[in-house]
Amino acid sequence: MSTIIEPEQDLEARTAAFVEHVQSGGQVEADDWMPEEYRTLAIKFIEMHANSEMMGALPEREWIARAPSLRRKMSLTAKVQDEVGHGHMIYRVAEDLGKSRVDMLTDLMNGRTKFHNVFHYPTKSWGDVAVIGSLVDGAAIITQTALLTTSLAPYARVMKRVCAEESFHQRHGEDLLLELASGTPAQREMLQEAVDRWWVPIMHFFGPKTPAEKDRLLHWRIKTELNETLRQRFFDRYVPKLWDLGISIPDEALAYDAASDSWTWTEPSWDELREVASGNGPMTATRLSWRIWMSDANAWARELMDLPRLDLTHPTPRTAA
Amino acid sequence: MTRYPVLQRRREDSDWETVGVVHAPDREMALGFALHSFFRHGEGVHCAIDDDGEIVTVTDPADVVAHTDKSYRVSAGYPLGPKRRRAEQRVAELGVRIDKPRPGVDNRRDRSRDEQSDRSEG
Repeated sequence: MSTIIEPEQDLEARTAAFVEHVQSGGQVEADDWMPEEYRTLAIKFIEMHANSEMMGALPEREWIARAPSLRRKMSLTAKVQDEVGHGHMIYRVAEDLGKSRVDMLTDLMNGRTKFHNVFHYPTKSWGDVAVIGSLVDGAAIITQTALLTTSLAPYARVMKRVCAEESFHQRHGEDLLLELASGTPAQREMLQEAVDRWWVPIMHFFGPKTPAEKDRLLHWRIKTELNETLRQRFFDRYVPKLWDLGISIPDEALAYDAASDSWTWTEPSWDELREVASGNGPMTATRLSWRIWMSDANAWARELMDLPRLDLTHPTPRTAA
Repeated sequence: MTRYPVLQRRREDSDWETVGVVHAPDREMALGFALHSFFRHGEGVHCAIDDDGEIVTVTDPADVVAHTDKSYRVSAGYPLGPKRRRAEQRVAELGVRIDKPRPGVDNRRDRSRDEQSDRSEG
């Protein structure tokens, strides 16, 4: 990066060179020069991603104790552990851009920053665990895979590990989906009810159709693909799988058009997304209160880590008894 | 939580001996905890718990070392091929498959990759 943008260039020229660099596929490191708008947008985007990993662990955590077998409990526990790990790895990326992890966690708990809409909703049945594992994680993999070529190199590096682990989550989810679809009428009904309830939040997850020229994250290539491109990819991959299992999708207009190689679908109300994402979802307050409780409960560990190190090279002599 | 004493046999010809205790909500969890707590390093070839006087053994000696199996946390731990075939059979019995136009090539490619993966997992 530093080889193509000379320090003596004025701000406008440096910014133009930066834009050309990232738009042509170049990447930047956290300590490279970057325009303030890039830094601000990257911190906000990555912070929300990390928040979502942390908060995304909670809906499934609720089901560890209720999972129907020991192996399912272990799978969910492993997944929750992965998600929290992802959160901390991603917070470190944002931290290197200038906002401390403590500040990000404090802002999350105080409701000053956002997390993905899908984690503001309740999980009412084991069918929800299957839908989160297959469809919500499937949507997440599609968006996260697109970040492997983001212009911020440390973010791209972290996403390699995140995507590898997410593939286990998604596969576990599909395993659950197939099991319920092969099961009793009650199990199939539970799965169908969960798909019906989660469909709109998943459509919201990708965000509204936004023209490329209005998407500043795309301009800086922090994001690499349009919301609608990612949503269409999700339809390609998951709608046929659900149809093959005899699971319907609560959108009468959803259809694949071979001529245009694209899906038509019904846009949901975006008011609900705005309301939920701004902290007024059905489970927002409850889940944030858990996060605060966990933070308080673990405060002793952080305090311990902050203590000055013991000087072990000069141990205190024991007093003779 | 119920208290379950844990027993082990070090070798096939060893006597049972008590090695500790676990606290668990049910028998299945107790056996899991026992394996994780006392058999992590191949300490024995048979494991059992004492469930209020009833000795519950891990009947397959291979299960005693199954605690080292971490396949539940990797993609390879979920071979989907057999489950997919079972689901398709169930859907066919019910006659509920939804047959609408879909992007066939992508879908087949996706499925093919999963099935190859399933086969490679054995």
